[in-house]
Amino acid sequence: MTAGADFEEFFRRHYEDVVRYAVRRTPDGAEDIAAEAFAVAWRRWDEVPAAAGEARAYLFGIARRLILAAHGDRARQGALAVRLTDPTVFEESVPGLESQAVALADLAAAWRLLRTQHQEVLAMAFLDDLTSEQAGRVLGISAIAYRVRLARARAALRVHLGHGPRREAEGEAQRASPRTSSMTIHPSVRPRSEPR
Amino acid sequence: MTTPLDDNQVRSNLALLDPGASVSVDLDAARRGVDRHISDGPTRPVLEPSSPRHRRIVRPVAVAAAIAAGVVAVGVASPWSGTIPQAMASWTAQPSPVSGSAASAAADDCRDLAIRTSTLPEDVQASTFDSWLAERRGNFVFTVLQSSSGWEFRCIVKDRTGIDQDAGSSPEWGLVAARDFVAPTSPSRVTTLGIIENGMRSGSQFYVTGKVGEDVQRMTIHVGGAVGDVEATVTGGRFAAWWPGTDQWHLFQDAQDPDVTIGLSDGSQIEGSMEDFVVAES
Repeated sequence: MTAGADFEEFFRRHYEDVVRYAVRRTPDGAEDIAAEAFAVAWRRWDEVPAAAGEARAYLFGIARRLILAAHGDRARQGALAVRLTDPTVFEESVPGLESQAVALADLAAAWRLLRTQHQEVLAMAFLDDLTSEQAGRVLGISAIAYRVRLARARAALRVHLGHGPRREAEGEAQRASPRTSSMTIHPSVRPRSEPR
Repeated sequence: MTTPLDDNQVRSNLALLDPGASVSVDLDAARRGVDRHISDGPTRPVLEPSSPRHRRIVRPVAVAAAIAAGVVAVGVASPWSGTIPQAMASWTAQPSPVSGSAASAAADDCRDLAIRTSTLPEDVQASTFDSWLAERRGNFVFTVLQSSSGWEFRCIVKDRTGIDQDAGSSPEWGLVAARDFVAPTSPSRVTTLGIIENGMRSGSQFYVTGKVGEDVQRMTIHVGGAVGDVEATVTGGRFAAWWPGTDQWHLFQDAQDPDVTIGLSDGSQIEGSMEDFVVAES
């Protein structure tokens, strides 16, 4: 297979994932970021890993640095905030799923309380489906350093979700926003299946 | 009581809130877009991956000047400006020795916890872990175990009344591949993987361990607020310390970079921030 054919396959396999990665971190220009990331990969084709998972992480790393560069001062901490869909978009009622709607609202509220770095490492594990080694490569750190950050982030999320002792002691006053018990879930939205 | 974080539940709920889930692309149009980017050349700089931070070590004369200028003393509100939870009221900033029997009991409890909860590689047996540290702070014994291959597991044991850890919720918290610690490059240096926070039944705690050069005799972590200055245990070329979170820490976004003073064998001091000594991220 020629380099051109290899790149074509590489593009078709990973492009949508790179757009998803970018959309989670920047509201505008995700496709532009993805296109630029692939252009960079084309120019550096010799250093693109052969294994699909590693190649995907390589592209995420390029996209991340492009977004950081675009964010300028807002990215001085060296971490990218990860946004979630506003849970209030789930307006249509699905009987029996009200408690899940509450859980979604709580999760979205807890997410907003997380440090940017915590959002980023949690998203890499839960949304981007990266291994520790791949996530570390994206961030430019070791896998163990990533796992340490992930452990911190999980602990922070647990506290913000009200699973920690402090939240129980202090009650609802510490919540980022009140529970939205009337919220329901859009029937067309379902969890994705297993990681890609 | 602390409850575990259900990874599967978090994953499925995050998937529902994932803005990337609704992405739909026209691959042919996108491919033409990539070609345009390739033909146009780079349109913006691509930053290289982050490299390890250089340590910012301030020599004694600089520290003295900073103190004289009033730069070091900080009186602003901090994550530590609240109060220490009652359950941790006996905690002390200064560690004290642990008797042999108490250290052995704490190590046994910690080993049991490691066996039950840690996610070790198959070829590493937690039952073989040895204790390299046991220090007392109030009613609590901080124990750090290590395997021959360099894995480290940390526990806090409260006077043999049970390990104060929410086992199962985040097993990684106590487990560190200590072999990944970068050794200090000079006798006066310190290296660490950084501070780890952990929620436990009696409140959140913060831990830090690492390696020290042979000239390092003391290490003080200036956490501040209700916690104050935490004296680390320095022994056998390593250091370790922990302190409780206050009822305020979670309201702040940058709670993990306290100043550190390192005391050397010649009586001089080195000052920096904890993040300056994090060198495993490479």
